Amino acid sequence: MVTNKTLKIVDRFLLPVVIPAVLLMLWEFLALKGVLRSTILPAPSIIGATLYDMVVTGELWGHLRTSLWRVIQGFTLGSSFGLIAGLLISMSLRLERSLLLVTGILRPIPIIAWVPVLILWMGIDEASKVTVISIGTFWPVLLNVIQGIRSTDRKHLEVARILGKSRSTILFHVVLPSALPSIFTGLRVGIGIAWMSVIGAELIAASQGLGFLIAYARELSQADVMLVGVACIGVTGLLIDILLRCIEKRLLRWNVNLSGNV
Amino acid sequence: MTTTLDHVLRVQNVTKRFELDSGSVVALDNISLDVQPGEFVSIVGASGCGKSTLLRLIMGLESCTAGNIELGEINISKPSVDRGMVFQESRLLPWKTVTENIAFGIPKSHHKKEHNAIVQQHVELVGLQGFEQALPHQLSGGMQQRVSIARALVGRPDVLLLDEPFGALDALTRIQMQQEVLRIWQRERKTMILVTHDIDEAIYLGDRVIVMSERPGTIRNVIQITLARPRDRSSSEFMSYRREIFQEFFGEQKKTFVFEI
Ligand SMILES: Nc1ncnc2c1ncn2[C@@H]1O[C@H](COP(=O)(O)OP(=O)(O)OP(=O)(O)O)[C@@H](O)[C@H]1O
Ligand SMILES: [Mg+2]
Repeated sequence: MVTNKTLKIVDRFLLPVVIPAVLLMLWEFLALKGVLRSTILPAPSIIGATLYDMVVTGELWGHLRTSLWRVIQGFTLGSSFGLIAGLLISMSLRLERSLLLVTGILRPIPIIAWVPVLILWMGIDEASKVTVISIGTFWPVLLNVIQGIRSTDRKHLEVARILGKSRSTILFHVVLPSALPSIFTGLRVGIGIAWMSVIGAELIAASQGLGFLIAYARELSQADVMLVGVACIGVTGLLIDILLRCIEKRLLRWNVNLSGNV
Repeated sequence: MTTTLDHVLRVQNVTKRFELDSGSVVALDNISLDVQPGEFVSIVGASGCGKSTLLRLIMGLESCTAGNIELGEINISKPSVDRGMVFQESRLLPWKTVTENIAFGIPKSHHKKEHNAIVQQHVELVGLQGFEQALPHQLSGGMQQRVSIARALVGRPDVLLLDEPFGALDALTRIQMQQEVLRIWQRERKTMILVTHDIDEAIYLGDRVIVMSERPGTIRNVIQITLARPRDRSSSEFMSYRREIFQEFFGEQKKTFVFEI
């Protein structure tokens, strides 16, 4: 019992912490010995000091806030459009057919390819960035909404018919709840892409935001600042994903398939 | 509501043919059947003889190729809340709790205020007190089927159609559920039509047992069960009904085999 329990603790908590800590120490050691050049890969302690500085001065938070705000706007816009378009398309086969070619061409375009085009159309300020993010969010949400709605159990629909339910009741009580797990998958993929798109857009053209921070630090050859930016992107992405999983778990308590893998 | 209680269910010369790519299948061939209000009719028959199809036609989920079905004066062409249906799988909405699933069976016309009282009444009717807030996946198969029955009854249908509702349950739970349905039927006095593979179940519950033959589905025989309820499954009268129905299936020559079942 005891060994089993301790093993579990080692497995669940220690392992994910210990391994990175060991790697970090190795890195520090190599940097100290001069094996790693500080202009390319500064020691963790230097990066840590820079991080501390940037947090204290509020510089990091300023960039992070700008990027997050863009993501929130773009994600809200893109996922709303994805949701609405998904609903409309999955209700009409004719609509789906007429959009087949258009979506087929638009969907494989990498989000970054839109950045210069959108800057040309909308200028270099917020609008173009928010639009890029919403395009990135739109596709996974759209596809998952359609797939979720299409896979509604026919037997449940039959029950609703037997009970004489209206179209809107069927939509809100049967179709949408059953599509919700799939919609959530779309949202999670969507926010991941949104987060990547904002950085991409900021790398290309911006005067604030984490992407800009990295691009600017590169021009000044500040490897430590760049790495703080990169780490901050990773950590924030992770936190967003955890947040969404928590919401999903709350909302989809009924979904037995979910309980295992969170 | 009281007037509709007098409504007879009339199945008149109904034929159902399914058109397939490989040709057409006659699922039901010229079936006629009258069911009196408040009557309990059991239907038995080999797999594929069209029992489910008959119920789906009465429900209005499919349309007759020929003939027609009436409930009272009204010709059945589509589902309506005057008929309820329970399937072999409970078909509960997994995202709704027990009470929410039952409440889903209440027609829109009802007043919101009465909802809770009606739902609670039906929770008690099927004996699920204490599980009101449970989700379907937290219930056993038998309990799920109880919810499904409550959901079908809560809209106060005149006719309840049961398509092998206990087919997926173990023998003991099945007997328990049969007693439960009997109790509900005696209390609510609904017309009930039960499709089953289980001959004992058909005799235990039915005023009449309808034996169907297969390919194409027709009514082979109708057996009136005159035993008083609750029925004793081991009584000699029960046994003789059982023998009679087995003979309908297997014919005279297999009589000796029948006793062992
Ligand atoms: N939607 C359909 N399309 C084509 N054929 C069908 C359809 N539904 C039923 N059938 C055919 O009609 C016949 C009767 O089917 P039905 O489901 O009514 O049988 P059943 O008596 O309920 O069988 P079981 O006891 O196995 O449930 C079968 O031969 C089946 O193949
Ligand atoms: Mg069947």
